Amino acid sequence: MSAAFFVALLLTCAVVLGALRTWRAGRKRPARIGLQAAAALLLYFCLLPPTADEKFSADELIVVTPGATRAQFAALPSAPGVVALPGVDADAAIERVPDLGTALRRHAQARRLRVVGGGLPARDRDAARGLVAAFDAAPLPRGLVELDMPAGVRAGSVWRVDGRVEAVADGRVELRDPSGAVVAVQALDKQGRFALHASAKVEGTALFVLHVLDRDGAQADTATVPLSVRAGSPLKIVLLAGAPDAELKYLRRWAADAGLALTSRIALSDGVALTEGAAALDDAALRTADIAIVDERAWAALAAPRRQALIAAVHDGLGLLLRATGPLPAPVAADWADLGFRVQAADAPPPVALDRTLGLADSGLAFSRQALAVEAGDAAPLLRADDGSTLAWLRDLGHGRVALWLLADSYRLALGGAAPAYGTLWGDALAAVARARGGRDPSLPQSARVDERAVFCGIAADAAIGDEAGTRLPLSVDARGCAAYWPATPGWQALLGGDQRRPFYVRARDEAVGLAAQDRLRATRALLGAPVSTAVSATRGQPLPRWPFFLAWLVAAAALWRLERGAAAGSGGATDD
Amino acid sequence: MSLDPRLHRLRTASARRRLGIVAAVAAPIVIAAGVLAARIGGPAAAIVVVAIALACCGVGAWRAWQGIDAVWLARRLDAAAPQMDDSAALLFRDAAALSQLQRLQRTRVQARLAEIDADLRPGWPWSLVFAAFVIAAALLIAAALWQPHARNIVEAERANVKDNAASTALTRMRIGIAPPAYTQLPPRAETALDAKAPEGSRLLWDLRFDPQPAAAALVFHDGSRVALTRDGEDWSGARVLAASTLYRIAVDGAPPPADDRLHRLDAIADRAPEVRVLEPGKTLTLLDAQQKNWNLAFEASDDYGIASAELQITLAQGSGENVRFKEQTLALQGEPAAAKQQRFRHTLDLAALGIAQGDDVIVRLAVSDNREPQANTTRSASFILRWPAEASTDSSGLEGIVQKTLPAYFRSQRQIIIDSEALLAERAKLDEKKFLDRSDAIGADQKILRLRYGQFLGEESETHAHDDHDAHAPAAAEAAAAFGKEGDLVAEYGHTHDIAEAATLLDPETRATLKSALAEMWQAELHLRQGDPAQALPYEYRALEFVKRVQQSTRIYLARVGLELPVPDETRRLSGERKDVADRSGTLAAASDGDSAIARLWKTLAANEAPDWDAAEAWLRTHAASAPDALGVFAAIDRARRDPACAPCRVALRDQLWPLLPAPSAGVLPRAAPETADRVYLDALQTAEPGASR
Repeated sequence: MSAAFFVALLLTCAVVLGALRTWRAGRKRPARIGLQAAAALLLYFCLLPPTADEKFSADELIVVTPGATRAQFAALPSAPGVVALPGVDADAAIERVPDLGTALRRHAQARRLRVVGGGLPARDRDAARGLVAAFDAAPLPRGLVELDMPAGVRAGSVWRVDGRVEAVADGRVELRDPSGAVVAVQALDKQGRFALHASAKVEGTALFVLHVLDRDGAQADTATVPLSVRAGSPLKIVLLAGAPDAELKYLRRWAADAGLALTSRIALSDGVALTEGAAALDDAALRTADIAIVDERAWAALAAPRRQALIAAVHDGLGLLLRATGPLPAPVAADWADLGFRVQAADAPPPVALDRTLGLADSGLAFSRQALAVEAGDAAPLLRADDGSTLAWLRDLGHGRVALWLLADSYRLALGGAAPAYGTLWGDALAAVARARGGRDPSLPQSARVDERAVFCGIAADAAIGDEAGTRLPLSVDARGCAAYWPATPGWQALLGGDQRRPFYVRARDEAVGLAAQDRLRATRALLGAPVSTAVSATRGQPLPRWPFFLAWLVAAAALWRLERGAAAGSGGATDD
Repeated sequence: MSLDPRLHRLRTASARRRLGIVAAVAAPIVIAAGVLAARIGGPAAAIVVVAIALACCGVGAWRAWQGIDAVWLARRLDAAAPQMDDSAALLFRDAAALSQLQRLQRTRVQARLAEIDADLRPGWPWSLVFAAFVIAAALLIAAALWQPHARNIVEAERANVKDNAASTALTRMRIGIAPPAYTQLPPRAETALDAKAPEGSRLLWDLRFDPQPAAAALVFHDGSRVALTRDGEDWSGARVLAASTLYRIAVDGAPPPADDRLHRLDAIADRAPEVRVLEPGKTLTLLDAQQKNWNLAFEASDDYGIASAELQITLAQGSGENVRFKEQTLALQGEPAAAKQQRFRHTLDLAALGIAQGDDVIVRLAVSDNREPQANTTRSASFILRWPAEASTDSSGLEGIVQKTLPAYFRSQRQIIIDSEALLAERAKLDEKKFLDRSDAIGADQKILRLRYGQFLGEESETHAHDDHDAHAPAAAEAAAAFGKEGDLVAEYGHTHDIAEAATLLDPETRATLKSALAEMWQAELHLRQGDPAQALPYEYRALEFVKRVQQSTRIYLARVGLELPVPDETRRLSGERKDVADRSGTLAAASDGDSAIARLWKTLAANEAPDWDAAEAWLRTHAASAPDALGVFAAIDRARRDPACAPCRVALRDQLWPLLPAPSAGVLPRAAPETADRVYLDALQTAEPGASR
């Protein structure tokens, strides 16, 4: 206050002295005195601008995160209560903080956070939990921003990678295999989304590459698509059929090639059958089997005790796939209704396509569905055609599962050259229905990146990380079975636990930066929520900008100068007179 | 403040002198520095150095110019002219600002100024100029003594190599490529050890080693060697490039070469010529009544040039059993001659060819390039000009499946008659035995003919006698080895017992006629075998007549290849007998290509284990034809194998192996088993359910 007072005093003195001198001589005295006073006042305001009252939420802290745009900086209030995290390229007026925790300690009153820019880094997300009230997100960088693919793919199956590309209009994406050959191409849709399919080969890891090309074919972005292929498990299948058909021929062929333990009995005549594998289909066989595939003719031919044994085995965990190959005899229909599927004869449905379901690009293959109407109650769909109609249902029964399969001619896939799609279709279906006996997979980081925290959960206490060079780094596993790891080098690394080796890929820091940006954005959005405290609104004085006062002062001073010159000339003339 | 014009002149003259001195001192040094820079670092360095020096000179000149100011001039005036009374400074000051006395002195001095004829310019600093020239001379001598840079690289490399005595360096590598003469490509030379050359090129290696080995050779991927011969420092060897290959340089009596990876020689194959037919536009042209000529135009192109083109003209005259062929070939000259793409035109004079109604003229062009030793020849499709015969009445609506011409083996009933008559004519000259033999031979011919006709009636042919059945077994065993010949399945496993379709192909009337012909043939054969051609003759004639009748009236249908099912056991058929009928078991055999040597190599490379290189190479050797770039894979395997520590080599090899990996059938991964807690919860839920529903 003293400075303001001193300045005011000085200016007042100057005005008084000036007024006294002006009053003594010259013309237009009132105007000159008035202007002097005005100039002094304006100078005062220029030096010490008046404040305007402004409403603000006293408990809000604005956090500027890396990636904030110029426009966002311009929109920031200049008041305290704005902090910038490391990596923000802002002017020095904004308070810098090493991390969000520090910012919250320094601004103890802050109860709400307003995040501006690219989003909070992983380090600050825990500190921000429950506090983020608003998020003013920066636009994503051009290129690939989302990439979704399975963590583990079965050998030989068709896998799918989908994602989204930002700001590349009319572009297309190309998936190239490790040898550099293009295996799938797709044009981006309006939202920039794509879904590509490729088939996996033998067990191991491979790096595919996704290229994003713009309208002119120039490369807009590129990202590695790491593929970890796992061998399938030798499932034990019991196959009972009333008669051979093409479907069975290809199903058996696939089962044999895929290494499944197949026990089949396909009736040819009364008492004569085409058999495969163990001859006896007794209770012991059913107890060890993973899935039984039975059609309505075989079902009808089963003796009642055998049927009871089969259903009991399902309750005990066996999977049962009921394959309808024609109209059901009444007793079979009754049995299946007891299992949860009310099946009635219906008109023949139109053929269906499976291109989208299986990732076949316009194969032109049409499949037929049995002419049956199914009332499946609590069953979940197991297979849907492209038009949305359900071709197979699945429901729990005891510890096991029962499925009903109406697709009549999946063998067309194998005949049409889409053997991987055929294997994938049946592999997925059998995996869903069969006895649950797989191990629980630990959760691996989906997008590990150099120097960023990667979290593993569901791992044993002796788990370790092994890299390609063969070094082994033990993890410090907490009580919940989780551990964190900061990878130092990019490339394939593996989580080692017991005799298992689960590879995961670590991206380089500067690779596919759009994906990291989208991750931050999504994680920050996930933190959004109503903070515990309600907004406290208060008013505070916000100094007005100085430049209007300065301009006004300049105008006043110029006018004054003009007047004084005139006065001096006038007075000079007067003396001459 | 205006200056006296005399003073101004003095000042300008002094300043000019100073600039002259700067120029005289700087010029030799700048020039010499530029020359030295050009010698050491080339023109770019010279430009930079000269620019910097000129900038320095500019600064010096500016300072020199600025140095000639009023104070300097006043001092020089005072020093040069005593009559100035040390008051020259007054001349440069404003008269108004001076005191009375100063003004007086100023006017005096100004008046004297007119009398003074002093040269105020600084003298030439001869010693400085001399020093500058000495420095410049020193720089020029340094430039003259400087060794060119390029020679030093080789020397440094050589020194380097000598230090690194564990390997032999290639100090010179050159492959002279002499393409085959017919390609008319000029010889050229490659300075790398990898080369691409036209197939059949002669490659001449010209290498220099350091240190000198006792012997050197090129070891090729197929196991062959080319020994290099020494001539002074140079080692040379030659080989004709027949196909793409890999090779390595092997030295004896010296450390192994520094770069001992496999080098690649790609043979660019000579493509066969391409022939396009411009005229006629379609394969079958019907002759106009007025047409005298037939215009033909072809276009052919080849990568190295076309050697010759032959027009093959076939005139087919007659119909049915009586078609005669007249063939002639005609060499055509292309336009422009000796070009890689030529056009061929020819006009066939139909009258000269002798075409008549019902005849066909068939032409096609065969173009050969000049590849050596064996030329590539491409034939165009056949083009037919047909003078339609009189319309036949009995084939309307059945074009697609009706074959109007008879197969060739319907021809020789007439021949049998001719033979029989000839035998009868010679009877007198022949002894009994010989006559019987010849008669029997004709009988055998008659039998073959009868069997052939019999096929058309669905009879089983006796000539593939029943021992054929046993012959299938070895054929099957052999067939298993040859993959990809599924089309031959019927030929290998099956045989024609009986063309059931053929039996129904003929209409009843034709069947009857043909049957009669067969009956006659039976009789004819009977008598011929008994050595009685005279008695056989009438039967033969009747058979011929029947055959002619068939020929005139009939349509012959071609049998399709069909499914042949196992012969049912007729004795048990429909008897209800189920003895020995049992389950058929274990017919499925899993495909096992998921574990090939190449897949194992791919896996071990990722796991950083020692791979089984030999097995992988053996696999690749057997599958080289189906691999897209087998040589590249071989080279990558070799590189990774020789340098086990080279991680990028292993990664590159792994990427190259990808296309060779088998695509196994998709497997199944069962869902995860519920943990104990989940299981207990599920059980509780299920036991609670009935209670809840109650």
